Amino acid sequence: MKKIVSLIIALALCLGLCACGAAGTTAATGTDSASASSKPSNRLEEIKSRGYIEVATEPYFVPFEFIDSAKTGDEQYVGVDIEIAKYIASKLGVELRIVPLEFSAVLAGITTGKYDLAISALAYSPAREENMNMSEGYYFEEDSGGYGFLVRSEDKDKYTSLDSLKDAVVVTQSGSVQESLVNDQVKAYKEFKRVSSMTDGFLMIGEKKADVCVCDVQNGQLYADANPGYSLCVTDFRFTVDESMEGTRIGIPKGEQELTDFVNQCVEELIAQKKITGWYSQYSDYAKSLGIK
Amino acid sequence: MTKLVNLWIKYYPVFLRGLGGTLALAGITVFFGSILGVLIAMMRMSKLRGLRGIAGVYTAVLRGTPILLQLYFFWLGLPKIVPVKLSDTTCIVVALVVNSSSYVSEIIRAGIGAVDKGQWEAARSIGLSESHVMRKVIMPQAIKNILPALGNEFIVMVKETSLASVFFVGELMTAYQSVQSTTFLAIQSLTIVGIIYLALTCVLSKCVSLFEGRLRVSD
Repeated sequence: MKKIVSLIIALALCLGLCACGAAGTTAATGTDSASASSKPSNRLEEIKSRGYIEVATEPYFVPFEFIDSAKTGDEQYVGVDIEIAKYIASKLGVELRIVPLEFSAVLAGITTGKYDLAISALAYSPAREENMNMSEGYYFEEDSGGYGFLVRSEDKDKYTSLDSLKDAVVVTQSGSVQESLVNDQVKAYKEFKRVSSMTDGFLMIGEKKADVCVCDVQNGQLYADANPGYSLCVTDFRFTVDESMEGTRIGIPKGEQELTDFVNQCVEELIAQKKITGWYSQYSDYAKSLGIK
Repeated sequence: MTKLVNLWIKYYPVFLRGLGGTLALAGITVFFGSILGVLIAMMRMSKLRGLRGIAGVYTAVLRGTPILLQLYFFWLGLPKIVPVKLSDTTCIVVALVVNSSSYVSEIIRAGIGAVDKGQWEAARSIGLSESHVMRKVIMPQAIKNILPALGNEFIVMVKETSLASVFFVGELMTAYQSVQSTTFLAIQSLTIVGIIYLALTCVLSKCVSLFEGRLRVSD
């Protein structure tokens, strides 16, 4: 009898806790929107009034964003995307705060509206667009070389088309545009593995845990060059990417139209000034200097 | 091998900073986790059924869900509940502290439970009050069970904190991520980090067993 009573009490407490939790969150979001409507009318105004902008990024992707360990604080984050973030912040006249996170956490941080922007070499995908606003593309694959396969050198002639993947173990970063390319275009594969970071995918090729890594070819080439011991190479195959899906974009919390417009304006200016392609080659060289001989 | 050495020469400050971060994170977690854990353990052993129930559910939830899930949950949920602005690191530390407290409370409960029941009966029968028995008879013996287990909890935490690298809390796995992403040398940086972890846990468990030996002297 005692046991039953204590079980019931435990259950009641559980429900109570859940209810409290739910009430707490709704109350919090309630006040959030209330204060948002009373003071700044949208996120753009809010950023201006609080005086800083928080940009989430996964700083493990050369040359878009990476870490110069010789520096400290926000200075250690360098790369094309960081330059864009700096440009946006200075145009707004606010302080830039970089929030380094793992890629899946970057996406979660922007879809939940925890951070203002995600500038982490995000590629466009329809699923992504459903959960966040996306800017115009700021970096296009024709500048880099597109998406292709990284394989071991002995397989260079083996994997040259989508059909050739039917006997291959394919790997790519989970949540990336490469993953949706595989899902949409590759009809048959032996196995499809997903990893949290693209460099883990490259590593799996080198260690023979997978045969083909679907990647950005320049990024893949950088890895192949840094690890001659693995003898990796990028094959000639390139994915055909729908034009509307092209371009690397900036993620903005859903529904923030004013902020999206502002970001688009910044992107347009940077493209017109040909800044982004310049930064791309500048930071590719920078990244090479951080490697070891 | 030469690459490994060169990598260490060029990036050792990053790894050492990561080591410092790991130690600090584990230290803070176990310290505050112990304080919270004592409270939870007291609740679990309390005479009030309500308190016992709350503490029971608390430990069941925290020990029954993966720590990575808890980290995500606190990272997203905590700033929504707490009115002041929290940094990501704070959220993660709170999550680790809460998680650790559930394990510490069990350590304490088990430590007290392991003291022979006859001790309590004997002390009561010679006329000591309940609180007196607890403080002067049970606790001194229970401490001997609890402290080494707390040391082991610290060692476990050293390893668990690696999960915080998802949120870029500066510790050893974050150091690994930063180095391997710029140098593209994953195996080498992983080896360095692995050696550091192993050396650290070996030294710590040696300390714990020495300490345990000292506590056993009076037995």
